[in-house]
Amino acid sequence: MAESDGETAEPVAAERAGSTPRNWSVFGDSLGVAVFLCALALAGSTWQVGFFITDTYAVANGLVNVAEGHLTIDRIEYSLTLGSQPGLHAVDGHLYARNYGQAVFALPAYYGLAVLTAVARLELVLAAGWSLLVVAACRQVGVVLDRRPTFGTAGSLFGLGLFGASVALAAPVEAELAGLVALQVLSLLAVAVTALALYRLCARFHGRRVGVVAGAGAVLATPLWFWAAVPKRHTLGAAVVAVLLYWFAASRGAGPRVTVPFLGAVRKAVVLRSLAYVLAGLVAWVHAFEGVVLLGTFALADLATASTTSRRALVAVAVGASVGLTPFVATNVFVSGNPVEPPRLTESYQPGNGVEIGPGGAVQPGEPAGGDTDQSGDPDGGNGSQSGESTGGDSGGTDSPVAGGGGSTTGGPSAVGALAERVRSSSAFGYASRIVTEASEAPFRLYHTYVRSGRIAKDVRYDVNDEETIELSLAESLPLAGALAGAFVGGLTLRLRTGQWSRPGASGTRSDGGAGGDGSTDGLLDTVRRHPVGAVRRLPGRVRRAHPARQTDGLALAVFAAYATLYYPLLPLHTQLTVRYVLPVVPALVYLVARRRTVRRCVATTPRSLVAGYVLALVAGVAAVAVAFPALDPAVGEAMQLHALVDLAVCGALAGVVTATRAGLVDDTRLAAGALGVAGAVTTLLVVRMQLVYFEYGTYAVPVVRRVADVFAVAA
Amino acid sequence: MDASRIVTLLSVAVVLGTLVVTGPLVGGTDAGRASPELGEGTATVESVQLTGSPSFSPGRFGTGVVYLRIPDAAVEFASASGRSRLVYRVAVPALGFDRVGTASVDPGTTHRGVGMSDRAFAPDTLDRDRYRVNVTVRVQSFAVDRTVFHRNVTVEAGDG
Repeated sequence: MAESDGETAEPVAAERAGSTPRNWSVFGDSLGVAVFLCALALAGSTWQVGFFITDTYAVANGLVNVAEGHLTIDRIEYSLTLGSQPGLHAVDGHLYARNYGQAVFALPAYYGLAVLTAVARLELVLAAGWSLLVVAACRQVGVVLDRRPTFGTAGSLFGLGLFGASVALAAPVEAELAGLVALQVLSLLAVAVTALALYRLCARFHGRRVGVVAGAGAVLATPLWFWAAVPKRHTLGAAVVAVLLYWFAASRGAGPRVTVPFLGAVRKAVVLRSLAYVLAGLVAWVHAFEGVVLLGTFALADLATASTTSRRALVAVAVGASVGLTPFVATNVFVSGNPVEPPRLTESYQPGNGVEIGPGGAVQPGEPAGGDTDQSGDPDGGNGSQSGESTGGDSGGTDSPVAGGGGSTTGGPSAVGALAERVRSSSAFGYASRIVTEASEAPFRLYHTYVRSGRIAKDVRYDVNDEETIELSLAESLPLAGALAGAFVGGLTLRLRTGQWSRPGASGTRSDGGAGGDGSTDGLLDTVRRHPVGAVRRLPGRVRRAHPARQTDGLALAVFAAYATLYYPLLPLHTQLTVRYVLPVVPALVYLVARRRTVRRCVATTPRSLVAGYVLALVAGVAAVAVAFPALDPAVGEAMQLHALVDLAVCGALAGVVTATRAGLVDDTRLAAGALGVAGAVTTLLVVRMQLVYFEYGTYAVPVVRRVADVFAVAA
Repeated sequence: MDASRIVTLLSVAVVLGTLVVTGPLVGGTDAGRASPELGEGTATVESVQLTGSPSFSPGRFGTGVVYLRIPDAAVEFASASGRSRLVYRVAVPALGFDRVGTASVDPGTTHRGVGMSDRAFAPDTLDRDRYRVNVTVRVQSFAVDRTVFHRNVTVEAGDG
């Protein structure tokens, strides 16, 4: 990054003050609680109880069966049609779901719902839960603003009113849907955790105000809100990335000693690091490739920047990674007999290959299949066309990079001897070579994935979604990212204009809180020009001595690069909507945006312009939709592409304004602050309309929001 | 204990109380449950009008498809008793397209609109100059199923 910075280091000093229990606070402070509650209430307000993407059926069936005490799917609780469903796998006459991590993490919510639905109707449990959440959020905002009595009373009455209205409007939700609801609760919590982690991360480096803006931005200004109620792996990945960034930032430097049961006094940083390895390892249980890539990326960044690589710390790290990977390996051994072959890589279930799904969803042994069905010839198998507008199939073939890379994983569980052959022929190896062989398509792929979607004639199967052009690019669904491009170009421009590559005052060192110094890219560029060899030799030392904020920037960039590489051969793809495969990088991008000096100046000096830009653009957007859409009468694909064009224009304008501000061509930050607000507002408008207008796939958990939207003619 | 805390606790108590009272343990009343959409009703239709004519036109904003634009159907009733529904069906047999939109008809309804979204087609799938589009409107309930409107429209694909 060409942008310089000037972060402060006082939180580190504050941490040294003592190892009181407050050090282990989850939320950090009362504002953290408010960010968490508000994010959860916001994400929950547009929640639809329903299956948006078809392989969720298999994961929900996995959850229900795990709750009954077995990994095998003996009973199909949820199905779209009789027979197979995407994400269902058959091994040795038993059915399994494609991933179990998600199912197990959702178990507490499932058991909780089982208790609640014994005494209350599920639709009212959801409405009550959300209303009480609104009450808690209002009270907490009152605590933060030091007006608890007013906010407490008003919030309670408001929540009560919302609940009353919901009771009157509620449509039935069958109690049997508890499995799906539990998965959705897990996903919603993941979005709230993402907002909280971003708040704590940004507050750590740049104060609570920047933290709040980043936390609020995570929900309001990114596509996370849309995916909050879609229980895929993506929101979980985003939460993990956000938490990893925070723990990474908090564990640079030795930090205080804390007392841990059984271990005695340990450096807090070491505890956080091993927890981070546990977390990254657990991702493999949800999606093997993402887990391995995240673990590798984190390990690389961690070991390059760790303040200590003592034997004790390395053991802690290794133990953490092992603990995190244990459930993944155990599940694989149980299902496929192969510790590195997750259920997702086993053969997709097709009716007739040894298992039959009987009436009522009972799974019985059936006729053995006449030979192995080779999946490689049928990468889109199970991609049932849906009655809904967008619930495009998401079959094993195209969804998973692993299966996409090597469809040749036929045959039963293999012995260790076949392992090498298997690895070479199918998953990681084949996948890596696919990235290389498809490098020539980079301009086409990257343009359509990250810049402008439009109709992507090649590679994208529109037929699964009724030919609607609903797949947006990253810039179109996250115009906020324009600020990153602007800051980068602006920084370069500034240096070209001033002819100055090393900033004055860049001689500060880490201990006095100056961020530049040895670790800054400016100094680095200078040295590289003068002594290229020495600079390379001294690079590891520079990285290790850099300010924690810069080190965390490095991790954020590495996570982005890792995901972009991992999914490069698969994107663009159908049923992505907002490039959901790379959704986990959204918190990393929000963090990087919040770290830009220009953005921080906007938040610090002209916060009113930021809020005004957001509110005015949102009001203008709602009004424009209400006036223009009845006249245009756009089909869903046209509406999505209209949003895409507007968002792309906003993204470009934001990049331009930030460039000018960063380069010193514009001194006033009000313009940039307003542009940031507008970029957030157009995304809010997009994700809210996606949930309330364009993609209705279930019963609204909060019917009163649905009704208010109708009244406001959002559904023009 | 301050007033705001009392209000909050009361609100929580009311919410939880409502949950239990309406739940399966306490009688499990059906109050608030949405009534079923379809009944045994019937309706006499006075007129059916389409708000336009079906047509093909290119998708806008870079969608790169051709849309079959489907007009809404506006139905006037002479009378309506019981619960029934309108079934608005548009089909293009040559393209394998067949879609229905429905709207419920409550007792005493005098007019009701029913529509459905436009349908996108990849341009290369439209290989004819013109297509026949079948449009029907039915009144349907558990007691009746009556076609009240039927029209075959020939639509030019050329401008698509």
